[in-house]
Amino acid sequence: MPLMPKRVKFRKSQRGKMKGNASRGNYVAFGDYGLQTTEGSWITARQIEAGRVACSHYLRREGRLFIRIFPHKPVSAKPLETRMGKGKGEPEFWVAVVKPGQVLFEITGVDERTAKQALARVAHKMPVNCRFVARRHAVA
Amino acid sequence: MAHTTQLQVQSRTALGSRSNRRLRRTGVLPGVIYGHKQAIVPITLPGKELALALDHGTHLFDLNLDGQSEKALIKEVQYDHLGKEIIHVDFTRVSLDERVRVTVSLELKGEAPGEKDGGVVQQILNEIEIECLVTEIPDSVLVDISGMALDAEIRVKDLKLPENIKALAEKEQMVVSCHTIEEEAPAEPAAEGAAEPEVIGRKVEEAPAPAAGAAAEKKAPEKK
Repeated sequence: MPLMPKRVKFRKSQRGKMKGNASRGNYVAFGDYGLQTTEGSWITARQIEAGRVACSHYLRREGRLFIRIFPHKPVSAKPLETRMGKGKGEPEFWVAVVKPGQVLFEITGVDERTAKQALARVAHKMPVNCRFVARRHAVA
Repeated sequence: MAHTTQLQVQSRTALGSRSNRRLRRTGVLPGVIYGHKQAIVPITLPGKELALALDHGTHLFDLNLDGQSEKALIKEVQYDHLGKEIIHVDFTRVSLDERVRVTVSLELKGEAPGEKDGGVVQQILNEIEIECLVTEIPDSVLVDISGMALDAEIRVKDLKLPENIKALAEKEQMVVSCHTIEEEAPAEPAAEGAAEPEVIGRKVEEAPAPAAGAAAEKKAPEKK
């Protein structure tokens, strides 16, 4: 079942804007390697789920995958062959809003080559250009 | 211990984001030195050499500024939005007999026997804050997992740190664990738009008639 919130304050949301870059969630925090987007976009719950499945099939119980994004935003649509007007359509699917720099997925417990292969498979399921990133040394 | 890197730095007179951008284009980074109740000095430093030193986990630097050498510790590193390029560095002055608080990486060493029994080694804590003498800052703290059986855990209190180094993290904080990962249940085929989240603050109306089917039970009352 694709991800979606358990409780919401409002059923429908406006479209919003995606300006600027990610200022949070833009570094590898939980795993050793990550998949970072270089574009801003909406990522649907189905795409996140497809990425998760692609990765877990490749890893076969090895390592661990962290999903760093969550689809909080409902997207509504009007039914087919409906005239315009009569109010906003019903919620159709859920999306995560991502900005350039956001880390989408992280992997731990596998070597770099395996992580690269697994995340490349995930990147194919994403609607954005992604890059492979590794954890940084703690220096400060 | 305390691997020091020498950097040739110059004091910087042109301040502001535009001049800093021009600097970065030439491969030079803007930075600043402060601390010990002395003057705050804006500096420029070679970008490549700094990046290389940071990749090796160096904390302590020997900054040669106008013919004078100063020991300085990295206080903050600012990266661009992709975390790729360094855009600014803060250094703080230190004396060699000072005890400081720094964050160092935790690195696993060896192979856990528990992995052969189907366990997955998970490093929960990747960096740790320590207090030690400036001269004794390690590049990283090694965690030996060669004796780690299945379902074993290593916590902060179990870390073997050198005598003068004190861990500041909570003693019970988990560092590494070796557990089997439960297989995820296959995802149920979800009907399009079948479930909808509960709306906070909206009263739940009468449940729909049983003839509507099990899927409809999960539907929010205000569904089309």
